[in-house]
Amino acid sequence: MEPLLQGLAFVLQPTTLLWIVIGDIVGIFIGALPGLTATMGLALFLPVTIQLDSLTAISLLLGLYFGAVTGASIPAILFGIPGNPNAIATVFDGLPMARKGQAGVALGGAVIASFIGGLISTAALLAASPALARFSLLFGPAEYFSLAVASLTIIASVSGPSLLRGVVMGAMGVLLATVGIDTMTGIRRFTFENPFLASGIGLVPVLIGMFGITQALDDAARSRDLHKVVTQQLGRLFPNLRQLRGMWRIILESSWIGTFVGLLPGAGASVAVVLAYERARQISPHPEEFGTGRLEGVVAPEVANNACIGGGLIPTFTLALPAEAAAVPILAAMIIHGVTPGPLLFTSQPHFIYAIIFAMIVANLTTCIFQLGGIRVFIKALSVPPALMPPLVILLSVLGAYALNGWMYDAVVAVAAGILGFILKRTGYPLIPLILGLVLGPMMESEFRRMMIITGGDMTVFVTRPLSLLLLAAGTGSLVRQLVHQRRLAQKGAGSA
Amino acid sequence: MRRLIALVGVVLLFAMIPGGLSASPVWPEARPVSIVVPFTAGGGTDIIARQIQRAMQRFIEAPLVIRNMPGAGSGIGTNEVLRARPDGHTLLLSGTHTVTATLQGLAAGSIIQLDHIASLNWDPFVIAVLEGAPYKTLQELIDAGKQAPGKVTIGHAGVGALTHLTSEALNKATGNPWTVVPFEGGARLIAGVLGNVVTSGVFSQSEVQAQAGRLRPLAVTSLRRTTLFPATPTTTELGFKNIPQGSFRAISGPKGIPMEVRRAIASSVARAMNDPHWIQYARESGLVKTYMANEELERYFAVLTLDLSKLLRQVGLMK
Repeated sequence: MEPLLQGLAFVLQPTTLLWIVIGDIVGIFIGALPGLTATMGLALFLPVTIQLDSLTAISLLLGLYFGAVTGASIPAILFGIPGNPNAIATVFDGLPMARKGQAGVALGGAVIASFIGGLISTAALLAASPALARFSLLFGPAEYFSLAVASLTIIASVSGPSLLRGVVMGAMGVLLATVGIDTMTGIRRFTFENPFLASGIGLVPVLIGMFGITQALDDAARSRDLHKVVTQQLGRLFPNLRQLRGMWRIILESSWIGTFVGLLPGAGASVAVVLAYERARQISPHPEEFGTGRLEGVVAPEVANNACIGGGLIPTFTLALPAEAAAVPILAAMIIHGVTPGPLLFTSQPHFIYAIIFAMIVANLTTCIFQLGGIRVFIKALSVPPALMPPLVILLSVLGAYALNGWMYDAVVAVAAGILGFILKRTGYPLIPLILGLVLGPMMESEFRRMMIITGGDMTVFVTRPLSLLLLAAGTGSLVRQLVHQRRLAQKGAGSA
Repeated sequence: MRRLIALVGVVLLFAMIPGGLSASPVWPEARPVSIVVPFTAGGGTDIIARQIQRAMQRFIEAPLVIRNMPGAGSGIGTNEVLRARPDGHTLLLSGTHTVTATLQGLAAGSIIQLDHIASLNWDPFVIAVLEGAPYKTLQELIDAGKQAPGKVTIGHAGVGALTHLTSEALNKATGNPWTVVPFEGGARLIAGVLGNVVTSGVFSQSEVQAQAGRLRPLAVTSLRRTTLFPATPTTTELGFKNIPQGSFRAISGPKGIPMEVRRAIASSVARAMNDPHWIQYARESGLVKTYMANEELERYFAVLTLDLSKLLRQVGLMK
């Protein structure tokens, strides 16, 4: 009881609260600016924290982290630009909602969802850290490979009416991911002696291009409807409680998807949000309306990406193992300040853990308050004259891609991805499997080869390890279900004709 | 109106030309000095860079700024410095990573196209296994590998990086008992050893320190025992030769910096390294102080380059 009160007392100090709030506000800005990621923001703020004591430093970073992850929903919903990877899936229904004049509800729903996701994963961190951290170590190369295969199969099979097109786009993403230095041998593939190509095709520039620029080109191409589309009313700010209550199952499932994927080093929030989105579509009574502006489609990924934060911090605190890239600066802050992460942290310094838990709760709450309060301001961005919108989005996208590393190369990749995305969209090829292929391709390839080095070429490991087998079965199941579904549709079509 | 904009533009363009024509070899001038760190912020090299920046800042008035330019195994940041004006206002946090990146052609120049100004430290690696593992010494790990070929593995944190070359060099020196397994970064390697995916790994000292109680250090790759692991034998005392001593870090700049400027930078680095905060930080992190400047450092880099090129050829990363 005493450590609990100590933790609470620490967080409720005005200075701690102030730092959390500063972190939040900076975080929301970082998240809202395309190209600035949570990881970058945290790394930039790490030196600032050297002057602070350890708990204050980590509270500031936590505020920034929650702020950045939540803030990324703003450009995703308003402009269709996912500023960083954890907001990819927010675009799917967020932008259509904004186009229908429900930007307020979408933004508000995203914030409330983020809040719930953050709280649930914080609870998981408090209640079950040691056990969950062991789970993250159960994932070896075989499990990662199977996770990648399963995720890609699930996405490819449900991404559109045509299974074949989904698979083709997924494969194309995997192919694009091979550009750069091969992580297993150091051999340069498709780099043409160019140091930038040696670093590979970045995920964020492709994301920005394929969502932001593609959407802008698409809008420009059908400019006649645009007047109608962008005439916005603010509408309601909050989804009403009844709406949210109806989504309890989606919220719960997205939370655990986010927490568990967050636990795995190297999987990342971009995988979690897409899996949560697809799961929400499966549960929803109206799966066919996903992508046309359903609130569930915004809530599920936003719950999941904030749940990833708590999930990612579990191995960081208990194993000194940062599962998310953004947890690296948080771990660095702990080590710089002489706090040794580990399971002992929970028993030897309980007040520290409680203080962190309270800091997470407060960070969540203040992010929620600030962002809800800001919606009226953010939404003003939509009052830009419709004709100016596409060029503005393209400008923001190019700047965002450039800002990532300060490379023109990334801006070029974004523009190329935007043009390619536009062509693919117009010809009816789904973009999401391509993006996921780009995310999961390197994981699939290098984990497979790592496993082969370790086992000396024995491929049975993928089916003899239970978790790996389970994942492969889940992927196969989704593929078979989709095939059966398509056959039934075809028969129905033939029957009625 | 249009003419006015053009005029303002021209004036701005002229204003952007640095006043370098009148540069006298006094360092630093009033404008900022940037240290390019060719890795992401928050990583091991970045933390060291920020510590030395703080220490140096006490002795010079011009603002010192860290610029993180990650990519291509430090090649991107190195290129930035290779292209910069040699006036001592753009410096590189260089070291063994610069040697391996340039040798592998990841940067658009070679190591001799840089002026090496002052060195900071060696940061030795630690060979470690899971705490519960049956191996108490490096020799036991070697013997186990020889008894069951292909069963004992050693992981490293990235192809072409120093932990890779170290694992290969050690494997060769001990008669190839292990299978070498690449990982993408230190965190994945830690998860690999903790999760029993690989038997052992080549880690930085700070990584093993953070895993105290979960990882068991077997050997440190240095000449002398370090302050962090005084009870762990070094590869040198175990009799293994030509094993890289870890990561070496230095301050370099583009070729052609006037010698007076180089001396001024080197002396401010020397003073920073006597700063109590830096000394405390270096001791707590197990860094091995290695101060050399200018000509001496240039010779040292030449030897390093020769040694590392042999290793890179051995693993097939250099033609």
